[in-house]
Amino acid sequence: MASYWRASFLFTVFVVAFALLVMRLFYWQVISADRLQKQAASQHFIELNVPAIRGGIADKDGNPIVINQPAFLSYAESRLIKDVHAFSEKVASVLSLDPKELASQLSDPNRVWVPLSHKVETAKMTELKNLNLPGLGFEKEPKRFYPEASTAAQLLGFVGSDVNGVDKGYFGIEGYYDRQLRGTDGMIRLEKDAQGVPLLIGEEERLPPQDGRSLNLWLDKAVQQIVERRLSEGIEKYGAKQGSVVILDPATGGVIAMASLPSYDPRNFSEYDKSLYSNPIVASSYEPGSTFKTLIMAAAIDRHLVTPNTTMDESGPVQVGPDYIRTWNNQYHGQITLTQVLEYSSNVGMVFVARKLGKDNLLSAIKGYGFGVPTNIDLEDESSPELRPDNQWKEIDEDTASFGQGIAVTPIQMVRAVASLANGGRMMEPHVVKEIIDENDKVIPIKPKMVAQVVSPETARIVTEMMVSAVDNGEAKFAKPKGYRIAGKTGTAQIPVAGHYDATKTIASFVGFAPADHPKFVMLVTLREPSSSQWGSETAAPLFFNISRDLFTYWGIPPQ
Amino acid sequence: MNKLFRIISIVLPCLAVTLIVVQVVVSNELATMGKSMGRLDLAVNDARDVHAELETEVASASSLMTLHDRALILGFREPTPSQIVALSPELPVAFGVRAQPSSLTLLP
Repeated sequence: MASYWRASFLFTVFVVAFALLVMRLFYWQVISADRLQKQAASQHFIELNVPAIRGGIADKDGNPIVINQPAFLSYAESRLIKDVHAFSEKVASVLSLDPKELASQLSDPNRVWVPLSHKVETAKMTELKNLNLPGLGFEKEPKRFYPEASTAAQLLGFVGSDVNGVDKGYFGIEGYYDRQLRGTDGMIRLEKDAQGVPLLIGEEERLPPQDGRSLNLWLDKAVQQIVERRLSEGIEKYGAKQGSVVILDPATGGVIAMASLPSYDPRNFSEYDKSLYSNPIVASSYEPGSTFKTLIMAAAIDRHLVTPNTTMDESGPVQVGPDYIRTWNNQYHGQITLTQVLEYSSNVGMVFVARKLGKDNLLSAIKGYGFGVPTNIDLEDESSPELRPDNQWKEIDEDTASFGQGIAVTPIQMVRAVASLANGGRMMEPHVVKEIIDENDKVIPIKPKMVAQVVSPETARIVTEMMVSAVDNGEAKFAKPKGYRIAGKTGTAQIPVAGHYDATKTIASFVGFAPADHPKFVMLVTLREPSSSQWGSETAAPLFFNISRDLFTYWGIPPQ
Repeated sequence: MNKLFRIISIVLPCLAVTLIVVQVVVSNELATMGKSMGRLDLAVNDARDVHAELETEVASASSLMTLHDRALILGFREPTPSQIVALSPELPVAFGVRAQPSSLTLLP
């Protein structure tokens, strides 16, 4: 009996021991398998991340605007540092850090690895290396380099870090094309010996990085520089708070230049106010004022409701309910043609045109030009002000919209709409990028895309002549370059503040294209709150003509 | 026949031993070349860094801002509008000449 119990006890012990063994094996081989495999691999293999190189950005001729420059993450390994205070003093003086703060971080026993500074340039890195400090290390961390400094900053955007500290493009082209530009990191996995040296005949796995794609833009670097210089001079001369210029190629919709001031430096973007990051040409809205008259006039002519020679009676203000619509200078010319309506920039004349059009045609024309929806330009920060619902348009709204008040647009929407008049009525989708070049140097062109035929070629020709006449005989004729046929229109829009218009604050603008017969460019100039004069004809128009003069010389366009 | 077997029985082991020795020597050699490979990788990376550095220098030196500044130092100045002369495009020949009975004379 006793031997039976002993045998049973022994059997039970064996069963329990076996069960424990199975459970332990299950824990190792199933539950902890991944972790242990990684531990084993880390003892036998070296895994190296091979970062993809971010693609560059070049202008239309392939001149670099953004490229990468070698830079480094500088770090310290506390356990290798002999004298923390001496180390901190020396390193902090080169990297402009607080030596006390650095010393306290390096003395923290919980930190074995302390990052010192990101994106350290080669010159500083060499200076640090020459200190021969044990415990000081570097890791590659390329940074963006801008050969033209802050040129086209708001168009390009910048590269910052995401929540994981990985480079990411924000705003503009860098933001919109971030996935194309960043590429995909690669990996190298090599078997190593006991000393950590790779074995040539060992196991090896290489996943090559896919470098980011490069972008060639429609932008002309020389034109961009001309625009930025003239805009800066213009803002100073006319005492404006802000200004912007955008130039499109009307035939393709390509952005030849785009500049807004004040701007920021993408190399030190964090030192600037965040409100400067977004590009006002695509992200901010304004009331276009009289520049809008050309579009409404074209819509009415295209529907055969009026002609340039149609006359109207401009003998005084127009009464709309309790309100009166007046001309900008409160002067009235009696019987005038619609060509003269544009020359005099007559609000009363445009009310006449709007009433000829009627509400349905007016709204259909406004929507036809693409207002109320984004233009699909390839920039991250584009937004579009919404049009008010059709059933909320009152008579006064229709009348004021005809001369560009009470309706909000973005500069890119406005210049695209006018570009359609320069392009025989064909409205193109605006684009910044002309070609994408992949990692195998294959060029992928982005073909110009026509959005709609907004008016007939004949209407476009007629309105062009009216715009030429508005330049030659309008308020801004004194500033026009002699001998050139330029189609254009001034605009002065009051700024709505807390539900009413501020009489002293305006946005002065000028939109036009040249040469009028074979337009090479279409340009919109806007100046916010100019203090020398509130009128577009005395501020934005001269600036437009100054830039045009430079462009004629640059492109070798002779007077007609 | 026996002679042939005898020769094979001597040659094959010798060949096997030779191959084993060669394999050991070559493997040993290859295993120690890891350091060389590492050095080559480093050299390639250094060359890439130098290339990138030079690329930035070239881009910087050929930027419009640099050219503008250099031009000013060298004495170039921006022309005033009156200093710019535009040449009109040449007229077709038939518009610029007057037919004569015996010759063509260029108009002034």
